Amino acid sequence: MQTKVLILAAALTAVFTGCMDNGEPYVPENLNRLTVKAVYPDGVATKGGATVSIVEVSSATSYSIKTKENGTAVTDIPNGIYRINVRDRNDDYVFNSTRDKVLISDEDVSLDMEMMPSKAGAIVIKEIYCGGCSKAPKEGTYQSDKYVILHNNSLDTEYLDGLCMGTLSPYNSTGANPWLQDGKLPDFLPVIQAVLAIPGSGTDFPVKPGEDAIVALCGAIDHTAEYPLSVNLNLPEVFALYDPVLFPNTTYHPAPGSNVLPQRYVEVVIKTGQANAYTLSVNSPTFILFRAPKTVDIKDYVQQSANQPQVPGGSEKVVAIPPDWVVDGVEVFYGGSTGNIKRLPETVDAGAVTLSETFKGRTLMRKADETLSAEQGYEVLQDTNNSTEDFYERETQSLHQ
Amino acid sequence: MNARHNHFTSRTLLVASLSVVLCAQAAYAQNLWEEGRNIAGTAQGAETGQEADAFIGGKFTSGEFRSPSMGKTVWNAVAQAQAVSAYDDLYLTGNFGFDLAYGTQMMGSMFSDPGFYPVDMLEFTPGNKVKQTYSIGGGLAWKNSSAWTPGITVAFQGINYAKRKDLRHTTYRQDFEITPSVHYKADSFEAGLSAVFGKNSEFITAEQVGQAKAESYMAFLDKGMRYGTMQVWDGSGTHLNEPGVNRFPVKQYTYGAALQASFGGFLYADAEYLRTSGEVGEKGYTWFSFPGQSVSAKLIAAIHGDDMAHLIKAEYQWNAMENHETVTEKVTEGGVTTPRVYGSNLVYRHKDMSAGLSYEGAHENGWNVTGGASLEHARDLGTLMYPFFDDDRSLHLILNAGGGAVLGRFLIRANLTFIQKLGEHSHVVDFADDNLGLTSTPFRLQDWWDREQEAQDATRFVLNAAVRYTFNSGIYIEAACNWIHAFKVVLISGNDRQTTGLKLGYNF
Repeated sequence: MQTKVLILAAALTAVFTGCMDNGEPYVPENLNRLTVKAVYPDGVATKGGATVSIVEVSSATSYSIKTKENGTAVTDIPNGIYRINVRDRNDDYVFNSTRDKVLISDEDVSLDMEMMPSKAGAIVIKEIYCGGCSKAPKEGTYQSDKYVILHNNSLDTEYLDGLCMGTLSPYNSTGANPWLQDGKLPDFLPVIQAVLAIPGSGTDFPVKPGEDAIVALCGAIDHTAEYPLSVNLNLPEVFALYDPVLFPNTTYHPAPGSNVLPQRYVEVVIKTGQANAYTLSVNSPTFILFRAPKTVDIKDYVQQSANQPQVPGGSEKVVAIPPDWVVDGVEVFYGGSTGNIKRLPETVDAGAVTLSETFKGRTLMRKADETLSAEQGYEVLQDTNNSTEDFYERETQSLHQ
Repeated sequence: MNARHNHFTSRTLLVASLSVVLCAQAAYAQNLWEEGRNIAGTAQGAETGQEADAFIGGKFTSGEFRSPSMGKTVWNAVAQAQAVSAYDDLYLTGNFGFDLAYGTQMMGSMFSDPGFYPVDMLEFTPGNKVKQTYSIGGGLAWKNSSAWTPGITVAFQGINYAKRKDLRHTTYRQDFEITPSVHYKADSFEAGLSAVFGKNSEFITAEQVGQAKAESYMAFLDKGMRYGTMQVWDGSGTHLNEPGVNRFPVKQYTYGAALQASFGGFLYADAEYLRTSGEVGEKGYTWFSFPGQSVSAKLIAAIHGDDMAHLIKAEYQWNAMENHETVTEKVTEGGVTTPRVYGSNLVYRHKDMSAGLSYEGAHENGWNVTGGASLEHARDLGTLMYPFFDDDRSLHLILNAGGGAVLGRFLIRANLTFIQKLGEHSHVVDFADDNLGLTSTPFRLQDWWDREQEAQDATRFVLNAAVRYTFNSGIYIEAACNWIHAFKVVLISGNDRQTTGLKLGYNF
């Protein structure tokens, strides 16, 4: 009798325990095998050690694995829509390959990622400050203090004369990208609103190795006089975007401060937009630096109608810039959205840096390469043509005192 | 079916609520079929006659042993009426209720019953909230000369729940259930079968009217175990302001069956199985789907002596629910954006089980005693971000004792419940795969989770007491109180929560 009671108790315990078992957290049936193969260009040997970055688009969950000697990386991941990037480098080139919106849903996926070579640029974007700050101690927010800092990352003195820059369409990374056709970006970069250029005759604005140049995209004034959490752009070394004819909005483009030299006013090569102030997204811009080849006159180029396509579904025109003119570019995603979409191709920027919050004085900075900086005796910044790796979000603007 | 308990109240409290004071005389002559869903079975055991009860009342709740989703103070005004008419050939029931609740310093869940669904939506600006609950129901059974008796019950509840301070929200809930039943009687053996069909739905609309930036107001979409998305309230991650949907809709279908049997009128057994199927979203958007199931069983023995009735009840309940988050992409073609759903991931699992024994002894003079003990075992598994997981297990003992007495025109009832955690509350947080280079964990509303864990595990007792005086005319006045006292709480602001109420009713 006692045995029967014990057996019954054990059976009931087993039943009750089984009823409460939630199972293993993850089982193979709920995961999908992802195989990523890095395909290098002809003449470049396949090797292991390339970093495969797998980012789930809606949650921004990020995984990182390495390729094996055969150039292949294998892992199991759950259902999702992913952005997959493979990056590697050798002595001469940086290799990147990115696939956006890779759907993995209840089936295994294999990808061959063509590794695109690019060279690290001489002039790179060191900082892009677009997110604005608080007007504290006053009420409200402030975004008329946007700037970009350029940096000479090479061993030689570089000249900024004629260096062009611009932001791409669409302005923001959230929402639809009208340029995507069958999930593919166009073979040009659609620079919207205006093409800007550093003035000069060719040797007027040198930048030595490790030195910086500040470009004020809004007012080149001391913003801290009224808003202490902002920055002072009334500096003699600042390049100021000031064109009261094309951009007459004095809230965003007041007359530059007394320290800013008129010969450092940024030129507007062409304005294709209608805004009365230069438009740079506050939460998710793209920004590129580019130079036309010596055989091309940029002013002629931008005037040709063939180089001014219209935004699909809209009326505004852009300037189509070939990707191989790009010196450097950075893509910014907005942390407040789960639907960010790439606008730059992987040859320009294979990733994206995230601005988590706007109007907090946060800025996006390129990381320093400590090893190279120590070797070469001047600040060398990290440049893998992948802003996910190369940039970080800084709490305050570097120019904030 | 609740995905998780509200640990600031107790199931015993809900059963022995202020609005119910069982007449001990009714307990003495209890029809065991009233324990189940089968109105046809209840009809067979009912004596002919009519009884109705209507009351209006109010109650006031205060005390700091609460979650922020509960008000610092809550005023309720209640009106309720119910009637039973048992004829030779028909058995009819009907009920109507209205409850107006006004709570102060409330924030947190925008749902009318936090924890009912496996997702939750929280806001963080304390303010006053108003909840109106309407309920109506009825049933009928046709007693005929055959051995088969059919019956049906219908119940509907509607809730409007609103907050008028940014971040303001308006929540509408509707709950409908229909239970057709059949009863078979052969000599001393009776059997019954009930089918259960139900649908409940709840829609949350959030709105900001004031001039502050949208970034001033955050919202948290809880996907299970307080893991989820914390964002500006109109961000795309909370789904509160999805273009084309503009609200957070949840719906759930319930279907199942229950079997009943009784032997000689002294033994009653009941077993029920329900399945639920729920989803969050509409108009092509499905953000979550949550299937569930539950099993419950009862075995009751009633022993009648000369002047005492003894009821011994064994009960078992098991619930399981999963939450699956879908993989959705918005595709724009020809200027039209439509959502496409590609599969889903299991992000949360919940199981709970309770088993208990209780006793009630009722004297024909009207006094009764009750006592019982039950064990509750709960297990949650969060898998929001592969390969991270969080496995949570707990076991609690619940003891209760009470009694009632009739002293002239006074009816007095009191009940004491004691809740104690057994063993350690187990948390296992780990990564199923260390080779993926995952350096982050999913966002958790940690301070809320910690407070809720403390409430769940706090040793506490719940005291209910009520006194009713009945006048000659049948009008009665009843005063009741409820007191929860928790021991050794640190994170929660207070140890106590109390409710006092008064109602005026008429029994006819």
